[in-house]
Amino acid sequence: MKPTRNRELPLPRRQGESSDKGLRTARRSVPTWMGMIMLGVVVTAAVLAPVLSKHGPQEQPFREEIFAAPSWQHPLGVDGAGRDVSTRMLYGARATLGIVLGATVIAVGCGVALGAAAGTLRGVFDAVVGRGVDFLLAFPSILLGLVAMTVLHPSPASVAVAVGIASLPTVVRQVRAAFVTEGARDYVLAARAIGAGRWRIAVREVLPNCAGLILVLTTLTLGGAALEAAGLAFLGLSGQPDVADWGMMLREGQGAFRVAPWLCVAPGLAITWSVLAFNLLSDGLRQRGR
Amino acid sequence: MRTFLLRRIGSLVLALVVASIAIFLLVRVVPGDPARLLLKNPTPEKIAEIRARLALDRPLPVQYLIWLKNLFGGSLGESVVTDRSVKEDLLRTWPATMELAFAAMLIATAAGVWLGVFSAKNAGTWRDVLGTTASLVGLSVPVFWLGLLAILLFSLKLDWFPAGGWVSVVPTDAVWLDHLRHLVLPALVLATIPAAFVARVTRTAMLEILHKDFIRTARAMGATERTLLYRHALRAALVPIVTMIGVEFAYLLGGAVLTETVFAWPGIGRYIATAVLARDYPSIQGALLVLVALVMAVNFAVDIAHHLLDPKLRT
Repeated sequence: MKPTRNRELPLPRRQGESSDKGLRTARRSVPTWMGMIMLGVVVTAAVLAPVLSKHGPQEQPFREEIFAAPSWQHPLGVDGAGRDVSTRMLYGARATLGIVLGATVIAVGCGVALGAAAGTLRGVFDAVVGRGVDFLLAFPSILLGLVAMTVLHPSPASVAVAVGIASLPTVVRQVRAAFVTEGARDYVLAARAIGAGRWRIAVREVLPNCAGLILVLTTLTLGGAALEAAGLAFLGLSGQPDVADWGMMLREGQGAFRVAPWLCVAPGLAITWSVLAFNLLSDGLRQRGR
Repeated sequence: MRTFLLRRIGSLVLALVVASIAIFLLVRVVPGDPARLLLKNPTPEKIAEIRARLALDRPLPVQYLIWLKNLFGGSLGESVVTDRSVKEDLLRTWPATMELAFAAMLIATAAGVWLGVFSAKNAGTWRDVLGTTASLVGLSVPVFWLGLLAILLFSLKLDWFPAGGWVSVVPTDAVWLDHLRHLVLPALVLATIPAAFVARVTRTAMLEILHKDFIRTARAMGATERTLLYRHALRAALVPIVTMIGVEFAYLLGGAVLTETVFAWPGIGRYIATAVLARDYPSIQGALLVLVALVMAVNFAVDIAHHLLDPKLRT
């Protein structure tokens, strides 16, 4: 008789497993892995762009082959200015990651600071921040980004700032809520009892306990920011047209839509790919939180 | 209900005032002389005139009140680019955006609720995985790219729908039918992200409710699976779904900026995108005012609906 494995029986729990079970499930979960691998591809493309391509993203060495269809020599074709599209896609990963990271640093950095301050200080400051955030959250973030772009000069850096500002309200609200909840816990009371000050408790006690939430918010912001930055670039707000940026490339592709429809495929696919990677990561991390 | 209504109206008015102050300040924050920013050909006489009209030499609060007075008088200024009255431009464009947004909202709600129920019904099976994957991908696709692909496939390749615009130059069918054909692609594309959102919210809400006792009771009493899902469970899941619709509408207006640009749809979204690109401040201010008012009105309506739907909130 073949030995059968009884799946019903619980496996003996190893020591310490229950305490950081979350992190372990996250490491094992499928969305997290897929997200990491997909993100890895984008990061590799961005890092290896100069190695993998023979020309710079702005060079126009193929002026005789304008709108050439994909071939072995040009896997993604040639655009209207005589530039190799695959080269620009690789460099576009740099531009996109740069803008997205910049926006996320702004959103999460300022958002955590504001949310933490509101959750710690409470009172009038909290009320003002809370109302402001509620107000901003009612609006589509691309509209907030557009408004920010009316004040800023069109450039990739401005897009990062605009997207960062637009993503700020969500972060502030969540971090504030977490600080308020954590502030009522026993360990905060204990810290206060031994004479720790308000800010010391906020930074040394509460903040580390919100790390999981902040991580989830970061991945969530990364995905949203990638979509939004692409949108603003597509509308033509990222400045000079020679910058290799996926959103910008789609804008150019739309112009040559009837002549060279393949120009629109790769950039859109790349944007979807990256956003999906970030969304998978944040889904995986959120499952861990449960 | 009455106190709730009064308080809600109070906060609506307050939010509108704050929004109008923010929109008013927009032109004052931009570096440069506001008078020059608001004129197409800033001749000295015109600058003097607009300075007098907007009272630019007076303190900011007074300027704001005068701006507000002009606003209620129906004057939003003239576009810096086209010289046309912003008010007339907005009156012309906003119905197109509303039409697109409502069409997309209908599609998104129907498709999203169906997909969410489908996933929840088949929880844990490959169908659920398929449903959740579809909604995750739906959340990650840029609408403008989806629009371009839709035009490529359904207009240029298959020639089923027109590639963009409001009606054909020379309509072959009745005008309303021709217009409807123009509406299909943009509405479907715009509905993608909200549909994905609704699907996720519905799935979560349904999963929670399907484990409740009253569902077990209904099942024990012989209710069919269909009645169970749509009559009992979905009804109880309605509150989070309706709340979602308010958020969804804000997304739709945001997505409209991109969708309208791709499909050359003559709405406020495309109008504001063009205005921002041209730094046409009177137009930007006007369009923002309308969009902000729309979002707030819908959120107001959603709050009221929420109150009516959720017995726990009634007093």
